[in-house]
Amino acid sequence: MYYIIKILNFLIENGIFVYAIAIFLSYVIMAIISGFEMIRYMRKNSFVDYSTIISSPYAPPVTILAPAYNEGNTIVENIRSLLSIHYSDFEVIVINDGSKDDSLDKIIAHYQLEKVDFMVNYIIPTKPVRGIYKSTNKAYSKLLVIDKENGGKADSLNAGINISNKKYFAGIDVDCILEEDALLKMVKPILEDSESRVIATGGVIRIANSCKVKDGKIIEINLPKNLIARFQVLEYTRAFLMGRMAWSRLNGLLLISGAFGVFDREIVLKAGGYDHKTVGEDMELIVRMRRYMIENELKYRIVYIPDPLCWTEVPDNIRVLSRQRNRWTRGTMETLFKHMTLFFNPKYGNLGMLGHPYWFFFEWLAPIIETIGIFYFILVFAIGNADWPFFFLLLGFTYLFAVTYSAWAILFEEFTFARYRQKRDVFRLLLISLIEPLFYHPLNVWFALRGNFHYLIGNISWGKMEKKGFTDKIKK
Amino acid sequence: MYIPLLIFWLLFQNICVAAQESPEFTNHIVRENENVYRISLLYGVPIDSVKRWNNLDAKYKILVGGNLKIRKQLIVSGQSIKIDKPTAETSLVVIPDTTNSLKNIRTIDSLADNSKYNYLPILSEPIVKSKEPYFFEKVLYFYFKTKYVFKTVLLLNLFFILSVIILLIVILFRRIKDGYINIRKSKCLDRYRDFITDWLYETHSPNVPESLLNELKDWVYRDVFTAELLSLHSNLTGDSADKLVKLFHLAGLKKYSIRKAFHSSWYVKAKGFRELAQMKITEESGLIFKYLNSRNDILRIEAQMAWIQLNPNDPLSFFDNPKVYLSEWGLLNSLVSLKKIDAVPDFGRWLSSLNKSVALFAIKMSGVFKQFDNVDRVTNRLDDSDMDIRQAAICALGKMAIPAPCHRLRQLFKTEEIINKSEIIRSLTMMSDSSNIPFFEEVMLNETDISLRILSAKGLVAIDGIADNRLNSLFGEADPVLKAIIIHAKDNRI
Repeated sequence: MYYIIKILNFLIENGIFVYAIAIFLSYVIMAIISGFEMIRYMRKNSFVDYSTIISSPYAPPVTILAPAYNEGNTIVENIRSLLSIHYSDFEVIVINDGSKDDSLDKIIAHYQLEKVDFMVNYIIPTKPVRGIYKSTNKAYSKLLVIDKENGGKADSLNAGINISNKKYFAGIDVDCILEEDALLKMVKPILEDSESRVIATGGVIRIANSCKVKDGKIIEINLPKNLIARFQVLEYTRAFLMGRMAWSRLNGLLLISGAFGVFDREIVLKAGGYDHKTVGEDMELIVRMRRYMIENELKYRIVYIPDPLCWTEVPDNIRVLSRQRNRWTRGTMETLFKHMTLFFNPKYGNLGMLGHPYWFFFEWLAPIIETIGIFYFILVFAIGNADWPFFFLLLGFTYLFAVTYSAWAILFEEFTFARYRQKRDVFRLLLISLIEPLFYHPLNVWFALRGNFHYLIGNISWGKMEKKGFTDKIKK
Repeated sequence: MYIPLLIFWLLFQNICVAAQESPEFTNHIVRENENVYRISLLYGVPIDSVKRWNNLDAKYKILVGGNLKIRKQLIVSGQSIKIDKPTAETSLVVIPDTTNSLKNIRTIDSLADNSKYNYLPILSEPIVKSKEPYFFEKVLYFYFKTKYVFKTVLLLNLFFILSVIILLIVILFRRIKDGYINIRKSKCLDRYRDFITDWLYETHSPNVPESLLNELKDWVYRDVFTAELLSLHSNLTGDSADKLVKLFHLAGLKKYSIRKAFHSSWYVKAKGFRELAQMKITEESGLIFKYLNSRNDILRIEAQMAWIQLNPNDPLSFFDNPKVYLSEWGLLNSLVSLKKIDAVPDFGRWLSSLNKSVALFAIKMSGVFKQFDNVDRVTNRLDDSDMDIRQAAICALGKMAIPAPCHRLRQLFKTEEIINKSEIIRSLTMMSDSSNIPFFEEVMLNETDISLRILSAKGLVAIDGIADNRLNSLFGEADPVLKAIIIHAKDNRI
């Protein structure tokens, strides 16, 4: 026992202290960077008229790719929401990924589809396409439906990329609710950058639980009533407003959420499309696109928009949340280990020296180290040599740091988009931030550990997310 | 993001310090028949010091097997020693040795055996009688006797608590302030709306009422009024728009716009430029001119937009000598401004501009506005070494859809990259000239890239008549892939 402590002690004195300081500092630095970036963004966009893009010959053509698997009870509603988006040169491709329910029949019936003689060009190999459908109704001329054999989300997106022929495509989850000007806001950075090519833009995901939805549009924004979902509001606000904003500024963004992102089709094709073997296909693609650009010495940027553009339902029970987080962890691990050549590789600039190591140490390793730490502490406690005043002080420090960080995120939200207009919502969020480190954080660590475990034993199952349809809410 | 409880780790260092012997102190394990006095003699240190180091009060008890801290520097066996000023130490509790069973633990009265040892020299130490300290003194004492890590963390904790409270207050204050301003704004908004509508559509006195002028000195009211007026103006043209401009001047808002344009913050300045442009205030053109090539993207774009609107005779003069690469977003806005003043200049002037962005813009606009006079010069840019320029030229020629440059495009096809190849086919399709039939056929039959083959098949379909017959005859002897391509191209629902 003594020697175990000795060895651990040696490690700790040299490494862990630096690690802990680094992780806290990185959060502080990110908060500062994103703060400045946010101020700049808000000022810049305070007098932008997005509608000028619609009528302009400069509007980049965009295909919206929406893969759907067993979404029968919401699909018709969701497609209508997609078709009603404000944009000029766009089409909507819905990919039915071999659903076992009646999704396809419902779409065909509602949108008066018929099969067309489409010659599918498998630029990226995918599962076979059974048929391509277009509407006979001119009102739905922008809609195209692909029926293919089941192959997962990445495979469906690849099929969509093969068939689309516009310069850009937007990958979205079909159950997302897009704000009407979402695409306009997403393509603006592409037009804006004069020095480098913008190969992808990502948007914020907001949480639609407990929001009132009508005709595929959010009509009233509420804080989720469910506690688990409410924790995630805080988590998403923090991650999107404080984390990604800073990474976007550093051009080190490694992840554009699969739920909503616009990509340069040409670069995606050259990078080889989505990898259908991983569960974290969205992150993996971004890393591969970045690698492609760097290896070919092309100037590029990946930009992130802090506007709330895409609303989605998040898991509101622990079981589903556990599966989702498990999948995220595995996706992260797969991507990180697949691209281990990037790790502290100066050739890859910010991606190699900053992005990859950051994810490696602070996203993947953090929950593991934290758990070992807790066990170690229990060991020391059992031996009876704990320095109690210092222990409580440090515990207080971590707790207060988390609370303060969340409070800053709430402040950011308040000063930028302020989507939760009720005064009591702010208090509720602050209250949640007080409980979060004690309840939600340990849960997340536990899920991440399970993800690690499942990765090691090679359990690659799809964490399916059960979603309550928007339709049953409309009926209420 | 894991906002971790990682700091647990920080703690270990300190736990481990406790587990080891500290550098300053050595531990004495109390044996049977020992008391503090005896121990103090053993180490040659004053009895009071031992008590102080171990926080023993008047009614202390020590346990057999327990630890007592003895300060190292002071250990001089058997000799009396000089005593330094008592220093502050961290406390250490006497921890019972758990390996001893309970029966072995017995208490030793501290004073009981003193007489036995009274032949030994008794060390004298002045007894300091201290009064009971106040609470804050205790806190301060506790604070100052701790280590610097401890101090830092403590201060950080206090900072966090404070900052959360301050953030809460800031949020609340802002909500209240916003609420207050919104109430004021909503109060006057309807009134101003009515007033402006009256001004537009009804006979009105030629002057703005004095009460309104006074009200507009308040920035809240002024903001509402200006915003309402500008938004209405942007939707109007001709006579009524002019009326609004007149109202703007009469209401004395001009000086505020100019003040904004001279503001040192770029975002206020940009808004000022916008107002100047919309209200046709030409006096400050010099200022706007300075920012036409600004490094700040937003400011430059706003300046250019203002310049276009204020100089309808030669709106794009700043394109002659551009110093920076203009983004598409800026060009898009220039185009919007051009539409506002309803002017389409001859883009031929910038077709051979050395600034790539301006050249791209000119080529693209020649296509969009179908400026057929520029066809030759656009065609010349097909020889450019820059791929983007060539692509823009190909697309522009397609938009113009006159068959003259067909031959040149077909020639270019052989040497181009795949993206430009597909653009060439698209452009040729739009020209729908029968001279392209052999070319389309060639591409459809022999090209390896399927998307190019599909495009050229579509090109054939677009040319009615002969091409259609040709497709039908080809279909008869086609392999399955070609058949699929032809069927695809002919399906007009796609």
